Amino acid sequence: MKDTVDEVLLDKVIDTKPTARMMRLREYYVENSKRTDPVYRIEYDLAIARSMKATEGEPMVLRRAKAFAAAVEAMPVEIFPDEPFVGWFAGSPTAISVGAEQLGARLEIEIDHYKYMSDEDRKAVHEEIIPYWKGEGDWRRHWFYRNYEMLPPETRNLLYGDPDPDLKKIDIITRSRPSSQPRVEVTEIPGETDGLGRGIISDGMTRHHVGHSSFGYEKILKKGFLGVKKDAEDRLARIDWTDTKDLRKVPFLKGVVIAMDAAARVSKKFAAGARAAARREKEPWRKAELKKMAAICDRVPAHPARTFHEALQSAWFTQILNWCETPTTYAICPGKVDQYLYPYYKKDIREGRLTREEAQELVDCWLMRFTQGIAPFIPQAGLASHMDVGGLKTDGSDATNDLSFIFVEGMMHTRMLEPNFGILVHSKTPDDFLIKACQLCVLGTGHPMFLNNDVFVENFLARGTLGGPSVPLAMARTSGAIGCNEPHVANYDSEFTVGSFLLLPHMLELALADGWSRDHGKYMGVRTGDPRKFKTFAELQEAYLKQLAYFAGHCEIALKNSELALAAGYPTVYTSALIEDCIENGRTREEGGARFNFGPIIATAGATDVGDSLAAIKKLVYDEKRITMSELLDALEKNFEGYESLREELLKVPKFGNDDDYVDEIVAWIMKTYCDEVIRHKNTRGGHLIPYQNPLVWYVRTGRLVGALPSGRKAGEPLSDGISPTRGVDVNGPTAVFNSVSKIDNVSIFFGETLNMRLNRDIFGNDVGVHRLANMIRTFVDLKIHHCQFNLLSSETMREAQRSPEAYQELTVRVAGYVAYFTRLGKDVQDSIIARNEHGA
Amino acid sequence: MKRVRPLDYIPDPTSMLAMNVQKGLVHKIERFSLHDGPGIRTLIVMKGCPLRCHWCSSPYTQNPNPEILYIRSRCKGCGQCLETCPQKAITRSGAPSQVQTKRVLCIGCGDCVEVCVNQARELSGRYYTPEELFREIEKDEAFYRRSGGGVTVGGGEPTLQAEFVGDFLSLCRSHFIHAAMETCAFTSWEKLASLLDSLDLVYMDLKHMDEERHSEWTGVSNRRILENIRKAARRNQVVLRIPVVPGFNNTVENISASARFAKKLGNNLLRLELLPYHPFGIHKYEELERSYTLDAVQPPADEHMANLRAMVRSFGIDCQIGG
Amino acid sequence: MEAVKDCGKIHSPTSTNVSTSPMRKRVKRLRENHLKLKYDGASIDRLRIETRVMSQTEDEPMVMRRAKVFAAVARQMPTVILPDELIVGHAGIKPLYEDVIPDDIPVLLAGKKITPVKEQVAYAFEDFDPEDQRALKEEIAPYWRGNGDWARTQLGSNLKVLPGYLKELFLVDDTAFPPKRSMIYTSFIKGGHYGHNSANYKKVLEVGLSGIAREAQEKLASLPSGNTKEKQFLESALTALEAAMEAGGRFAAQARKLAESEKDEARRTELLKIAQVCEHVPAQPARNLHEALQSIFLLQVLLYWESPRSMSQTPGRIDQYLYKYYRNDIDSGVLTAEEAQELFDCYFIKLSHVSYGSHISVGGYGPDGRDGTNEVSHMLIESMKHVRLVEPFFSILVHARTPESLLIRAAELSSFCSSHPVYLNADTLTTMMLARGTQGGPCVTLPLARQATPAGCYEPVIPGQDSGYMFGGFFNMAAVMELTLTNGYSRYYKKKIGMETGDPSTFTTFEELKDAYHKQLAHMMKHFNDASNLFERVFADLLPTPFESSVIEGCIEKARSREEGGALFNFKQIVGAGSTDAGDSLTAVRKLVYEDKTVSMKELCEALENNFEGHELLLKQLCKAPKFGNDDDYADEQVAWVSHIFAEEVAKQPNTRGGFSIPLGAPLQYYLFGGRVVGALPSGRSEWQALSDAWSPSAGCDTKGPTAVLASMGKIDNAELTAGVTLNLRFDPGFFKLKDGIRRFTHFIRSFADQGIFHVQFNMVDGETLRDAQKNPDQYRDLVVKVAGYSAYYTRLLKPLQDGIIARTEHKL
Repeated sequence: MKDTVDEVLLDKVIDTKPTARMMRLREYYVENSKRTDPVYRIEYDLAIARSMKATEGEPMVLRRAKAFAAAVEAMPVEIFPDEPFVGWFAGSPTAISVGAEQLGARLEIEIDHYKYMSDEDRKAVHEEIIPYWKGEGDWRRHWFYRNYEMLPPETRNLLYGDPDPDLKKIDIITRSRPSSQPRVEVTEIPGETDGLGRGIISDGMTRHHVGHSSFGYEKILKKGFLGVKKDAEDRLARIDWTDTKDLRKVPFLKGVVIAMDAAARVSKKFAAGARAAARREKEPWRKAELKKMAAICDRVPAHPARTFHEALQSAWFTQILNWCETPTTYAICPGKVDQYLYPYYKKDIREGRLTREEAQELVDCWLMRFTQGIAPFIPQAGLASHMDVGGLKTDGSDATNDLSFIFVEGMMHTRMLEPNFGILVHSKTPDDFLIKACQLCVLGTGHPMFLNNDVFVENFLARGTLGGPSVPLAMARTSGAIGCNEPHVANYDSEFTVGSFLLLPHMLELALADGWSRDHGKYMGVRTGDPRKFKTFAELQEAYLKQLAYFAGHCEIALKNSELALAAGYPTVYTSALIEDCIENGRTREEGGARFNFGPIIATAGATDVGDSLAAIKKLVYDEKRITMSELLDALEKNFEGYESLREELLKVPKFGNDDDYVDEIVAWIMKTYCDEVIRHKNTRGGHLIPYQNPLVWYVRTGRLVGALPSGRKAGEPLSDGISPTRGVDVNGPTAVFNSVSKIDNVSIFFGETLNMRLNRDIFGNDVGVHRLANMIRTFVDLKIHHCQFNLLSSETMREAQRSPEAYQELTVRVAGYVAYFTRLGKDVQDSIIARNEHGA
Repeated sequence: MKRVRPLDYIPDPTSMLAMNVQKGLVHKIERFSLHDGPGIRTLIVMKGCPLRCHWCSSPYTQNPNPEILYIRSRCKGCGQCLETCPQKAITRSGAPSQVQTKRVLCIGCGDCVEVCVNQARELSGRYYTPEELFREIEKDEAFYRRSGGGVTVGGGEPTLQAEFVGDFLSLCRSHFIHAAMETCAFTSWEKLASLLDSLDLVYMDLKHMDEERHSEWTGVSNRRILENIRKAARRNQVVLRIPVVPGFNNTVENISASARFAKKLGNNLLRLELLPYHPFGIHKYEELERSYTLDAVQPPADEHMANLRAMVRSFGIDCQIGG
Repeated sequence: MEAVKDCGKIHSPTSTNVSTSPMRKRVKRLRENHLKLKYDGASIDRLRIETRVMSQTEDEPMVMRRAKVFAAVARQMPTVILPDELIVGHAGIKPLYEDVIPDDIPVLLAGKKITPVKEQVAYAFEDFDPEDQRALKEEIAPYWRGNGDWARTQLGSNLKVLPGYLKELFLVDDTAFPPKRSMIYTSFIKGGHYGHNSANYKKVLEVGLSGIAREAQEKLASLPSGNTKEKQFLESALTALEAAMEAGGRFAAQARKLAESEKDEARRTELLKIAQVCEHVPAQPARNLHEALQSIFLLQVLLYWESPRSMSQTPGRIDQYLYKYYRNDIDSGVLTAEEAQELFDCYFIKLSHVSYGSHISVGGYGPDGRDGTNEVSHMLIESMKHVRLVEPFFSILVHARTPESLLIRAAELSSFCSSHPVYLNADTLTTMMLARGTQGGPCVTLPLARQATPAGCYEPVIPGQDSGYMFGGFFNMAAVMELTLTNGYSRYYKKKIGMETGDPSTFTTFEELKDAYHKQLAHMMKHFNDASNLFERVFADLLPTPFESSVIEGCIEKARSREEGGALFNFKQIVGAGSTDAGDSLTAVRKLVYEDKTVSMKELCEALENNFEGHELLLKQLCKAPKFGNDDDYADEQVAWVSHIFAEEVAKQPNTRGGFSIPLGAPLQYYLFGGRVVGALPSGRSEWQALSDAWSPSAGCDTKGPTAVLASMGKIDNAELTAGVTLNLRFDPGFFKLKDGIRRFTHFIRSFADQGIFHVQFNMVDGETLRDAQKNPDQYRDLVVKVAGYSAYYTRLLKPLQDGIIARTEHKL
């Protein structure tokens, strides 16, 4: 990645210089991150396919346990220079696994497009892996087959654009599922996919059924995998062999014993590998380190960790073992690292085993490891391993400790895209820590995000009303985030996260077209009446809500169906064993074994676009009657061609993000109705579906699916980014943006929302600026906003603003105390500012 | 399409001409202002200024009446404004897609702004009662509180509307909102003094120590200004600001004279700020359809600024470049 | 300050820029007249009615009998309208009368005094006129005495259900009647209703009592035939509602009668207006602000008529639900802001004429999580500045988004030194309400949590949906400390009443001592809750409230009284006392016995046994040990721990209505009485002395200023005490004289909110004034102070309580 950090500023804000070894490692990873294509490996896929083949006929949960054990056995052992830790997601830092089972039929067309893959592996995929899952040709061994088969045609139509009542198109549809992001852009699928594969809602769970989760780290630190194995054995010992219910628990518990046993053995080969490397090593310090690493691998993760180094290695194994169960998974999150690692750090420091500087280096190197691989689903992004520092303790007091600082410092040293790093702030966050976090922020690496812990507490407590057990106060306080910024109670949640995706602008489009989809050329939504005949704004709102309810209802059907298909075809054993209560209940998380069964999500995007659109309709069509609904619909149909002045009229209506109640109230209404609708729906495990407002990086991509909107946005243009104002319309500065967002009931958006803001290097890139930022964060906490994240204004942004000034009207530049709207300055002045920015003046 | 004129926006021209004392004329309210006092602030930019500084980067604020800004690059020449203007002040001119406003005819009613769909016209100058203005700035109170910020009244010259500003500032005071003011100090002592009690901090401009040069470049003598600064510094915390304009006041001689003057102000002088000349105001002249007279001036070199700062500091005065 | 000077003598140092809007002459007159009113004592008029109806209805279900008592009272109580009043009504036969309740009879007959909480004024049998004395003795008492066990009274019934092992624990002497109660564990044994609820005022405004009656009829019609309990309840509710709907008309008639003889034209018009208003509400929906205020006030009167000894029937956050009536009136021009202010002022003065402790709060959150402050919030603070009486209890709900302007107005009110307002943290409040849902019973939704309203001192309830304050009693954590150090033996009662948790001198580590304390506490808590649940059933059997139930959401729907769990939410409070004494004791033992080892446990126990006599040096060391309230982690840790295990144990206790118990840190004046039965403690406290006041630092032990107190308090898990917790501070009001006094004060409140502390209240009065007031009570008639969470006229307090307030450390900012 490009390192644009201001060196002078960096020197000022770091407490310690990174060590030479750390610098070397960083260089290596920076190089690594420049790759656009990963190396594809198949060890896990092959082991899993072979094991599954060998165990046909056994209970599925046992087969899965054995497949996991086989994959662990197949984990390649490589020891890389300068690394104080061992183990990789997929054999080496540059590699990822293919994930045959996650891809399903799509694998057939993707496989030949992978750049870096050995011929031998490619052959194995074609000859062994694909044939196994494909079976007779209908992919019946793949859990997705059942998922597809059982869907009612109406839901199938909304998901894939075709009801396919005779199940003739499973192959085609599963190949072309565009709602899950393909890892390689293969758009041409010969002759078969016309009009197929694109629905209005998505079946996101089919690929992301594992991941976006945080579990097990602390448990394995405390008792090791053998400890968990013993838990399962103890539970088996308590089985009442005459009780039918109890008998059903046996296969899972036996599976846990197998899986934990395999997990406990994972480090043995690495211990041997490290010893061998030590023998070869000439450098005395490294020789000693390798020996130490070998000793650590003798101990963890089978047994409880004793030292900080052991703890870090153990947590790392817990992290990567996920890939042995699900070879491509995403957003496996280490969570609140400064909390569960602290006892080991403290003990080492107290007993003189470790200095603070040594701890810093270990943390630096550990953080570096999260930048391996390339995200298989989102080009140029990492694996979204989220970790948080700061926050609250169980008793409600501030949890910041030494390690919180060390991790922030580590992020300053590494300055990579990953891990996805969050600061949990609340009204008691100490000043010095907040300042440290803000210093990291103004470096401009995009880290950290700020998460409002006070909002999290209320969020989790309020989930008690969703059914299922409620989250106790102590646990609500210690919640953190996963993935992008989703609130989460680690270790107790079932970890069903990614679900359906439903675009709010689609709902509006359909409401404005009586359910007719321009894209599909047929009625996809419910018939809510011709909007030209709507006499009041309320009628339009009602039509919109009806569309929303209709699609959310089908999301529920799709998700419930997927959950049952997963429980039958892909029960997880490693994952379930580490999630609390699954062992005690003797059930996998797929069967509802976890304590909490929140989610999955019905995610959405485009609330701001719908809000701006509804505000425009309300003002121009109903309040002021400046234009008619017919005119408006015609203009949308034509994508504003020939309606330029009408579009300008629409653009002049107040837009979200300017602290203007007229539109802000409408956006607040949109979010409220959306949240209310989502939580009306349930999953199969006694929990509820959960609302989530975050388009991830897809606000550009999903924008292509949405036609022209009354907000003045043209067809195919990007949607608004999370709850952030539409680009370029927030002309009243960041305080107004915060105020606008604060009018939404942010606590009720249980899975969170994203607020991205731009920071100006000129104003924030100094001591005073850091304090200002800290003060803004304090107010952000006061305003009960869930999340915010800052991008440092770059020269790139300014160049972009020169090219398309209309999208950057709000962009201000300040040099030496003066302020000006960038796009209104002369080209020469603009250029000089860009030049200054690049020189970090 | 039917057009309806919203009622709350357009000022009544008669009250405007009479300089209504109940209301103040504000060029704009700038939220999240960071360079005009401590913390996160809201800057109130008042209309009207008794000075005519050649380098002025904010010509919008010279005129004490509402006026129209014309953003040429956005204009598509549709001609809506021509039809709407009650004064018939707008004509086509130059390029086919451009218009021109006869400024002497324009009464700043804002009708043309309302009809312009391309957002090429803006109105500089809106009337507020002190309460209305206060409600606007109160929106960011949560940010002031956390950052130690507040409100800064600048301009233009706030003391031209001293009564209004005084009412507004006392509202801020009664709500404990930190208040600062930027003034050119060319005003009667009575007016200035009437505001000082409500202020936590005063920014005062010091353009040149030489009376003649001062008159030549700003249109007024500096005598009253210096006197007012001396008096104000006896009662309030003061920051002096010197816009450093090459060819006018950027000499070592003038700056050291200024520093000597500043030194005598005593403990209430917090610091002296040297603001390097910049050309960011140029487009604003275009938007006012005025010409810019200082085309040849380049911003002072960073090195020169640093030297001046060092020199001021040698007097034992806290000095910084920029606000 | 003009307005302050003319109301009795208060040395009121106010900030130089505090101003108040002009107060209308009428309000001034009403206020003065109120202060001049004598508290005449008690009346048996209501008791006569109750006795008559009860004896005539022996065969009917209790809930119907209670409905009939209520109906008779509502139809027969006098309707006095005082001069100048705009809002009318009152609870007793006259505005300031107490009603005698059946539980009082045995006490009066035994020659003892009754001291109802209200006003702390006592009355005895001989205070009644001879005819009343005769009636009490010969007509009334025989019915309630029954066959001699007084089982028709609450107290008698409570005694009857108490099993032997609990009698041992709760009663020192159960042979006398009324029995002598143990002060160590004071469960709810005494008769009387506890109120502390906020009924569905908003609904009564919107649909009127007639709307509620319609609902009850519909529900009744939907039930299957047969004489079920459900049917009985609904029929009773309808009987009660019918009578209640007539109440307005009776006041209207009185107003018309007065109007006829009224000479003053203006007043006559007013009286006719009052008549019009009362003819409409509370039976029908309110149409304007005047009707709305009259409606909620009469509803409060009606609630009192049903439960005469009830405290704090709370209108709650009236700025939220009255705003729309205010806005409407102003917008339509039927009312000016000045007139509205006068109405609020008059309403506030009337609140002295119903149940004690009507709580009004302003600010806080709206249901959508945004700030709820509006113009009415400001006007109500203004009313408090005008009225400055004990009533209403007044709080500001502060949260991170509270506008500074509201806090400034509130700080100005504080500077009036009337001890109003109380500051409550709306963020913590929301968390508390949500956290309640995690204990069992239905969960509280976010919008409901945000709308919670303080009742009584500040105990949050969910307005209109909560069963109300089902009072579980006082739990003495300092006594548990003593029992832990004596292996279960009470020094005062000279018998073993606790669990045997081991001889402390055998404890080799501090942890063992803490374990023992935890066990002792859990053991006593279990017994405590057993008793309080028995009493809860007695309550349900003997004193169901068909009227109040009908104005609580859920009861009509479920066709069950709130005593039977009809409300949507059913919590029971258990109140803790002495947490600081227990925590500071643990700290002292940890330091001296286990860390410094300067004294052995045996020696310490000996010293305690002898109340430190002959152990003066040790006492000095104990007093020197770190104490809670000074931002010293070493000391604060133990108090936080005691608080935590108390909260945890309380939350485990179910009640009998499908709900759970919630911990409350507001022991009221129990901190005095509870102290009288606890011997010397390792904190250095001598025997029989008062305990620390609620969760506040022990008197005089906080020496580092108010910010240190806040910091210490911030280490207590406030939100876990889901029924609230008290922090009392006494401030030297002199700082308000400083130029930026108000500002410093609002900053202090902001940092209070940041720390997550739930409640803080101030006595803004200096020691000298308090001492002077003890000497010259007549000159300080209106000196209002905060005692343990509630407001009281200082000069009417008992002497020990007065002294207790003087003893609290005085802070300067």
